[in-house]
Amino acid sequence: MSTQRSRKANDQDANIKKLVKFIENLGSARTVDDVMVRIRAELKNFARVKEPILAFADAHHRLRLTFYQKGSIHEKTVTAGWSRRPDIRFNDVKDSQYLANIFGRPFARLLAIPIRSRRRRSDQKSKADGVLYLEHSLKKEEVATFLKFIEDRVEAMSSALDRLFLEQQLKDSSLMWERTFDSLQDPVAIFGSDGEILRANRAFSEQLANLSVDGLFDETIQHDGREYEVHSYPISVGHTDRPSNTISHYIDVTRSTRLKKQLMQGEKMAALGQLAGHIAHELNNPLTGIRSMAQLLIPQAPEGTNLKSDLIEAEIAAERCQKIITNLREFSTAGFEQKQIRVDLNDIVTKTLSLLNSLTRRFELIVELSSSEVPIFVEPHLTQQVIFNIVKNACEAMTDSGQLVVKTYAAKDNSGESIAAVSIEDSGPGIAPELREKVFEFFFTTKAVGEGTGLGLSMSRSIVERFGGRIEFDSTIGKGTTFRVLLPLEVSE
Amino acid sequence: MNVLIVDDEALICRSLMRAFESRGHTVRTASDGIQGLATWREWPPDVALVDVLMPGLTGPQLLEKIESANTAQIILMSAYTGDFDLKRAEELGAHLFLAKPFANIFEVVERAEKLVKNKAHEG
Ligand SMILES: Nc1ncnc2c1ncn2[C@@H]1O[C@H](COP(=O)(O)OP(=O)(O)OP(=O)(O)O)[C@@H](O)[C@H]1O
Ligand SMILES: [Mg+2]
Repeated sequence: MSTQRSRKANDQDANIKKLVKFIENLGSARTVDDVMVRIRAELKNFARVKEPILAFADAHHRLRLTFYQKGSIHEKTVTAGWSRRPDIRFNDVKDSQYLANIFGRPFARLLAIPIRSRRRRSDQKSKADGVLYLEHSLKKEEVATFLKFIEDRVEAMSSALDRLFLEQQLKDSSLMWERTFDSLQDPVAIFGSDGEILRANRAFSEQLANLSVDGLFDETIQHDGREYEVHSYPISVGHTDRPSNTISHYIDVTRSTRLKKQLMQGEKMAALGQLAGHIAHELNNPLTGIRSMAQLLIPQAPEGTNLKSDLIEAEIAAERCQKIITNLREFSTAGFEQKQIRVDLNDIVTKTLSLLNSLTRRFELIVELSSSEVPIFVEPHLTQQVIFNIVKNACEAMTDSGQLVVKTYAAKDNSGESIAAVSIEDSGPGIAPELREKVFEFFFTTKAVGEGTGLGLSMSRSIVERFGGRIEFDSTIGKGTTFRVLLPLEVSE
Repeated sequence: MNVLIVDDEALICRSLMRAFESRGHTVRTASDGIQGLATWREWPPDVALVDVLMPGLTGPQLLEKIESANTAQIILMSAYTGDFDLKRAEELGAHLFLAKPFANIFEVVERAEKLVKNKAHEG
């Protein structure tokens, strides 16, 4: 008796140790597969129990089956309904049929052990979240021992799976949140109460990462050649309503700001153009009279007298005024009637140069156009007029011979903005340092009376600014001058 | 030949008048459309130079009124080149369109003389 009793006690001890070991093993499981490996090892004690099949519902209420096939773990997801009964079933025909349908082979004898998550386990009757199916060929006398063995372990297995499912859910939802955050094309960041960045999305790291934190809360910020509108909202964290974090959303308004500026500049130019047009018309009539009168009187004035030379002077002056008026009028009519469209700067340059053939013929002309399209958003005729004016100036600067180099290219300017450029380089005398400030002034000219109106560059500048661009130049006395027209590059379609 | 000049710009009227007179033509001037119409009816010219934009009666309105009984060669003149050309002028019954400013006033006289001469050849 005593030996029997102690043997039984020893057996019990050994069983409990095994159970503890199993529970410990399950605790270290990181994946469902790990759990499967441990359950399978545990079942090795029973030669008549086959490989385990674990089924549990995923977030989308589909049944995920993990099972062994030829010694390795496989997975299968099915949508077919399954029994969520909370009781352990022994050789239930319904369970056998269910697995037979899924695996396409008969399951003779089956033990179905429901697995329930913690929140359900307190209530005996609540439904199962998963089932551990064990196919077996146990003898009658083995069944009781095996059931006891399983009952001892159900709780541990449920806990382990429960923990893994929870972890998985957390991972899934945080991944989804992260992906959503990163898919936003605008920079978004979450700041803590001290202004420190807690989280930031990909766009933020790419576009604004190296921005100093001071600037991050202004209403608009400029960074890397781009302009952002900042929208900030409080986030309350924890249980208080007092907001402690801030989420800031940065909207890139570079393009719309540019368009707005262009529009404003365009309106100004239109108004100026109309005014110029009116003035031109008003002045044109009396000037026609003055000039005609001078022309009439010149032949009547005696040869060699002051009267004659004075009249000639007056006629020349009137002619100059008329040229100015013609220029103004061209600018005004072209200025506000035409529309901006997307064009290739290369085409504009080519067309303009063909118009200027007679002028450029005297010089060595080198044209280097960008091999790919240089798209800009402008009014083509006005843009042609700008290039026309600058090439004409270059030719006029080189009196008899020289070299004219015209290039187009796309580049980034100092602020990182993509620009389209055309450069016009001459080998003329250059522009004296004291005149450099003046060349863009209205009516500034160094050309002989009647030859230049001094409107070429000033109008060109107005036109280019209207399209959001600018004109710059370098000049070396005795060597030549390079003018560059820089325009915003249109994003290619 | 008899030349009628209708233009509200006094200096243009005067200079054209002098230029035509210097070539031996007889000239009358009018400083607006209404006066121009009156002179035209009372003294039918061989050639009439008519400005487009004038107070009272514009050039085109004036041409409408005299068209039926007209025998004169008509030259329309305008500082508003943008919205005017020879085709428009011809539709209004004119024979020539001149944009202001004139490069040379004597050229205007020559072109007027030529118009009248060509008409005489035809007629
Ligand atoms: N490539 C150049 N080389 C040297 N001087 C230049 C050059 N381009 C412009 N300039 C100077 O700038 C002045 C102003 O040029 P702008 O085109 O505005 O008027 P303009 O050429 O004098 O008159 P217009 O254009 O009516 O013929 C010129 O008179 C000239 O002194
Ligand atoms: Mg110029």
